[in-house]
Amino acid sequence: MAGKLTLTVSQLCEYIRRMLQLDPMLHGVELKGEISNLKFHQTGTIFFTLKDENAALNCVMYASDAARLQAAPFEGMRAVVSGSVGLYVKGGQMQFYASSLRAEGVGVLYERLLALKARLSKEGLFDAQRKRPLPPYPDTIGVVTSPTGAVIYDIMNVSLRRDPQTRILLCPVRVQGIGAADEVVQAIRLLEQIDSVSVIIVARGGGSMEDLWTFNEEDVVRAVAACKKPVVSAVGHETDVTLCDLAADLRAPTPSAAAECVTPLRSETLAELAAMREALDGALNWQMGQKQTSLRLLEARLAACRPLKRLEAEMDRLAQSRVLLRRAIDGRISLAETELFQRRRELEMLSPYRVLSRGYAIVTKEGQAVRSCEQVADGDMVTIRFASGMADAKILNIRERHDAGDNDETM
Amino acid sequence: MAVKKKKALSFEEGMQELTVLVEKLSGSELALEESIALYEQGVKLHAELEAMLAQQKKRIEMIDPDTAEIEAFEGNENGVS
Repeated sequence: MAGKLTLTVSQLCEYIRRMLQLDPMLHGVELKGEISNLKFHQTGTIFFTLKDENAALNCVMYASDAARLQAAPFEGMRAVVSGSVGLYVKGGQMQFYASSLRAEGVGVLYERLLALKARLSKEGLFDAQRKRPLPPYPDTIGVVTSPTGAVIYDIMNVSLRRDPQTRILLCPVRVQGIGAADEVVQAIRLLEQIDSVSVIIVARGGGSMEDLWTFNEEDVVRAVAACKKPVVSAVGHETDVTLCDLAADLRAPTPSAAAECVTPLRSETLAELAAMREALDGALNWQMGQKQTSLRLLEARLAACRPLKRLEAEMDRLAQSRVLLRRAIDGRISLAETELFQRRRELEMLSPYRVLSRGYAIVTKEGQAVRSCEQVADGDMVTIRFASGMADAKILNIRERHDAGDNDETM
Repeated sequence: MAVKKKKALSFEEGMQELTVLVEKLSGSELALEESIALYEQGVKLHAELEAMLAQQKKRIEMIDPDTAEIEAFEGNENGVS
């Protein structure tokens, strides 16, 4: 390379690209740093910057590699990437082509989980009062999970055992990897719009923290919390608690347990329906009993105020008055009788006939008392009245009246 | 009455309605006509619910997340594929 050589930009860039490619030191590199400027492209390619205190490097991960990620990387994540260094000729920029990416220790994911949990908890997403009761008699049970794998079958088996006429609507999703979170969110939104779906189970089998990461994604947690239908979350094993579990209306330890909580026993439903009928009959009987009681009460009240009763009372009073009146009149009559008797006695005391009892007699001629012999002539008929009885007599002989004076005075 | 022409009553709604009927009927004394009307309504609803339960059919389906089309879900009975 003697003398000065003028190169085109393309030539130089292409040269550098090849140099970088040839250096074995720049292949199979493991690089650690913090992720920033994270961008998910539509095609599935991921762009981000990996940096430490002093340096930064643009990184790219192609869709084919990104698809193998268990959990989506996030802004600020301390990550370890492996891949090779190369030059992006069009931009003249050195880039790191990452073929794999993982968190720098589980602690990184855990910290993120805690931070998100604290934030969403502050918003009240996990509040106990937000939890809704499960529908006692669900129509269709919506299930968000993978169409392959044991989970959906566990749910089906348990539900069908409890109620052989169970209705299940599965919305199949990927449960891990990039895009899984979006699928879960879409599935929840789709199922909640279907009228017959009464409750939704979001389920996934056990796995590592990274495997379960989808169910710690903010979008998924928010979709669960915002779901119009009650959600039962059954993610991982009993010991794994995801934010999705916390946001759900009920957390079931396993998918089978979720199916058990959601599916009422058919025998119980039948028994409840029968009990309802009994309660209905009982309630009507009670109503009728009330009516009977009221009727009897009214009858008694009516009897107490019937007009005949008043009439009877009036008649009683009348009879009473009559007795009193009678008594009063009788009193007056006997008083009058006594008085009358008295008067008669008095009158009798004055009667001229009283004198007769002493031996006198009264002589009458034609009803006129004979006071003197001059009133009579021989042969006259007179009547003599004694103290008791009378006698008719004839004047035989009229005598001189010398002793007439005595008689006059005495009469 | 008003429910009649609306979309078919779900079992749960029916149970709720029946519960309300029973509570109404056993809560306080009502007019005779009203209690009998409520009772008859309850008996009818109860019969409907019984029929609903008897006619219920097992249905295991899958909805396509993109097209929202619903089809029977057969799956692989062994589970994991």
